[in-house]
Amino acid sequence: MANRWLTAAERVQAAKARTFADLAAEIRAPLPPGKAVTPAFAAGVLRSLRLLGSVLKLPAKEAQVLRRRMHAGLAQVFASMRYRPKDLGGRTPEELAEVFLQMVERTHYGGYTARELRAKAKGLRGVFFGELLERLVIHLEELQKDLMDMAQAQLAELRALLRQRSPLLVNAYGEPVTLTGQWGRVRRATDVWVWQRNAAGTLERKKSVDLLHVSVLDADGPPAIGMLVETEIKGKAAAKKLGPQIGEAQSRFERGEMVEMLLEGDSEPIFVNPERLVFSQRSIQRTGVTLTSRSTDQYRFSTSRNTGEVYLRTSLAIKADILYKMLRLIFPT
Amino acid sequence: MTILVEAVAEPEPNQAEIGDAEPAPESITVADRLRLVYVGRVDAYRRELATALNVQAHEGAGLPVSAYPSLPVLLDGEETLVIDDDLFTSLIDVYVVHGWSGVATIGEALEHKVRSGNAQPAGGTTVTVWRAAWSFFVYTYNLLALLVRDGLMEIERKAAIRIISRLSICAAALARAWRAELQLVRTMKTVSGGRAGAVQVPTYTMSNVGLAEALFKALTEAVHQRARFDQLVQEITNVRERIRLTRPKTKPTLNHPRPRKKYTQQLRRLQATEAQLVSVREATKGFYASMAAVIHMSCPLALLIIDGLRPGFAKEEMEQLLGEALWTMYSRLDELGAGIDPQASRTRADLPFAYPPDRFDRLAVGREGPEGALVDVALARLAEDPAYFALLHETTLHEMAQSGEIEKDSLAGVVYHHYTLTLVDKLEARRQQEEGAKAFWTAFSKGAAALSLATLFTPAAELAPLVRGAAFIADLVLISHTVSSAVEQLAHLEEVLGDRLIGPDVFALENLARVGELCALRRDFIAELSEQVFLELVLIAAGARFLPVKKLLMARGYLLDIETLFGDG
Repeated sequence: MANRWLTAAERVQAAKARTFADLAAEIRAPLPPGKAVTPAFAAGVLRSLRLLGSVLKLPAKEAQVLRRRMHAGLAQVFASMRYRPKDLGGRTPEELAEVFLQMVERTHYGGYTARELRAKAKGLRGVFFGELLERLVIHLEELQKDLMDMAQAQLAELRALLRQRSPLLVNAYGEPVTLTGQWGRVRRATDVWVWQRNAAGTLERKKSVDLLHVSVLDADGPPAIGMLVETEIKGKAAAKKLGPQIGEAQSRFERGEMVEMLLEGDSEPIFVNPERLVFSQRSIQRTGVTLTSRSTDQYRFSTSRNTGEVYLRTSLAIKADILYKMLRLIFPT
Repeated sequence: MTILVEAVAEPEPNQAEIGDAEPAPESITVADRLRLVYVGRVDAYRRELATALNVQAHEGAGLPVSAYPSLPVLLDGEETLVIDDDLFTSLIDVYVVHGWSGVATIGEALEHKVRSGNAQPAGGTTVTVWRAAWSFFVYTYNLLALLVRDGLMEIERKAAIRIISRLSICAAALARAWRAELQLVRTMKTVSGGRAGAVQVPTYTMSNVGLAEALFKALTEAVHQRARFDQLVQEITNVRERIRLTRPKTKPTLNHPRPRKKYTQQLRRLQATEAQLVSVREATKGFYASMAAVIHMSCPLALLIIDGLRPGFAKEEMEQLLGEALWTMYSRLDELGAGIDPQASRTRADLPFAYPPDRFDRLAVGREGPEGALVDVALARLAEDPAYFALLHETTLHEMAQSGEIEKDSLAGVVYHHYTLTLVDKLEARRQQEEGAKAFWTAFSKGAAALSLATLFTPAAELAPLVRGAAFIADLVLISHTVSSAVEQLAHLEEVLGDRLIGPDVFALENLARVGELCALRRDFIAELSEQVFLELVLIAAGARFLPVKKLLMARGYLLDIETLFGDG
């Protein structure tokens, strides 16, 4: 029975093995190792050309075709649903279509060939669904209002503890902190990353919580961030890991050498040392947002206990149909 | 290969979108335009399959994997190729590694399948499905041929520009050397010509007496060093070749437990001669030092006659030989470069592939591929049309790749590799031909000799980036390569020169030049060339295995590049 079709890398390796073996038989001395092509070339023209066969690749006219298809599809979706483009961060269907395209590009959708896409469709759909849900949650006005209320309450808590010089104010390492200054207004932070060293000793950044409500300490010196509300957003299937993930939120920060986040209204991210991340030890500040299959379209709060950490679990009764319809625009089945 | 089934009728992509077959404006590359037509063709293929299998296919939607026909293909072992939306990617992957022969192998396997499919359904796949697959394959095959043709056109244009520039350098430098530096004088002398009576023969003398004396002294030393180097290398080479030829063809068995006596004797002799490698190393250094002395006299042209002089030669003989070598080129300066026009593409004229929408009923090119077809035409027509020289001068193509004019990360870079491999094979075959070869080599040598001389005039410009900081070996093999190339082409150009310049019992330059030829393929190779590898290559170059080793080294360098480019698939 014939073997499967080789990937390009496998084919090159097979040819290289043959050639090097033949050369070794001819030349009885070790050849120079050879200089690799500058890595900058690696994502260049040749690779793009190879992807010519990927009919789903986005650049050039195909992107326009996809955009047109998405616009038409979105119009239908929104006509049948009561959700508005602004719930997903777009003022108009056209603007939303642009947002979608950016999301598609972030999943490197265009880098897959049609065959690879079929093989990896399930995983890619999951990634895309997660991002759609995150956008939906971040732009859902009612939920954001409640999260903001929670953050305000938490801010009052931090201000009180600061005034009292309470040992209940701790950093990411769990050590009591002594601060001077005033906590500023509540601000939302997205694109939260933890920079930590991998096994090879090089720094790499890992995605942290999906959404943060924070307060920046108004004082001289390195920035200090008061952690008010941390929000994790998960689909129904991924929500099983919500508890453990939230439970170790603080230790994830502890493992990092630096935490990066983008504060709403800023153009550049801020970098904070974990010892300048400030938590209150006596109040609930972690939230998980997920979906429920209940028919009511109101969200509600509930609490659950996991890994010893108490957090607030928010189950949104969003009809996931809208998300699936959007997915089908990108991933035809 | 011939088409076995009729093309399936299908809607043609909008011609206004695709554009016609004229050169594309810069803003829209050929690849971009082909991408569009390919997308349209993939949709049509899906519809054909859906119709054949009686399933629903929505616009933009893929069919299930099981709907696409597949077949075994023998490439890296037997593999299963699915004729699906990714066919172009599959073909280009195979082309990158195996060249056009790999693509043709797929075509032959599919054609065989289609032929079987005409008689009966194959593997549960209906005849109509195989027809649709064949039509789609032909379309994609022709699309790739068109892209390769595009790469060849780019290579030809750049080569023509480079050659014209180099020829003008040679013309100016040669005239300066003839008149101002060597101050050569050509006079006709009457000598007895036997039965033909008195005949006029040219004689050459150098008016620059001081330079003539200095050159004589330097060349005397160089010829002595060359002779020593020759002797050592030839002795080791002969032993190695004999061992190769007398090596037992079978492994020792119970009946014949020991190698043949003759072979054992040869091995002992090899051990003795291998000890001479140290001497070869010293001889190489001496030879290089003497050649460098000639170059330092600002007279690199004198190196042209090193292989033509025997130890104990006279000064008059040196002047005569040098004059003869240069007169051929000096008197033909006006011819240089004539007929080479970067704007007129011979590739386009000789590979008139139509855009695929016009022709998907048959394969545009056979197993030889666009590269093989083009080399054949160029070899056949060079004698009447010098423009083909741009497609045949291998050294120029390698220089372009090494200088970055042909980018590694481009289709032209891939095409360059497969094209030069084809060119090496076909030029070698042409060298083996007796009949009709003279006209070709005369035409070929006009440009090639001048280009080699140009490198000799400006070794710093061309070679300095290679040799700076490297060991003397790098200088030696590259200089030898340059000199030997010029000598070889001059010999082709004038038979009489050939007799004088290349003696049957000397091969130092040719030998070293071959190593230089290998090193010129990759800058990084020569920069890191150890003495151990150098000596190995010298011995290989003197033996019968040069060409296979050269092709293997070309493939090695190429695969190292491709490994980086395709490293993670």
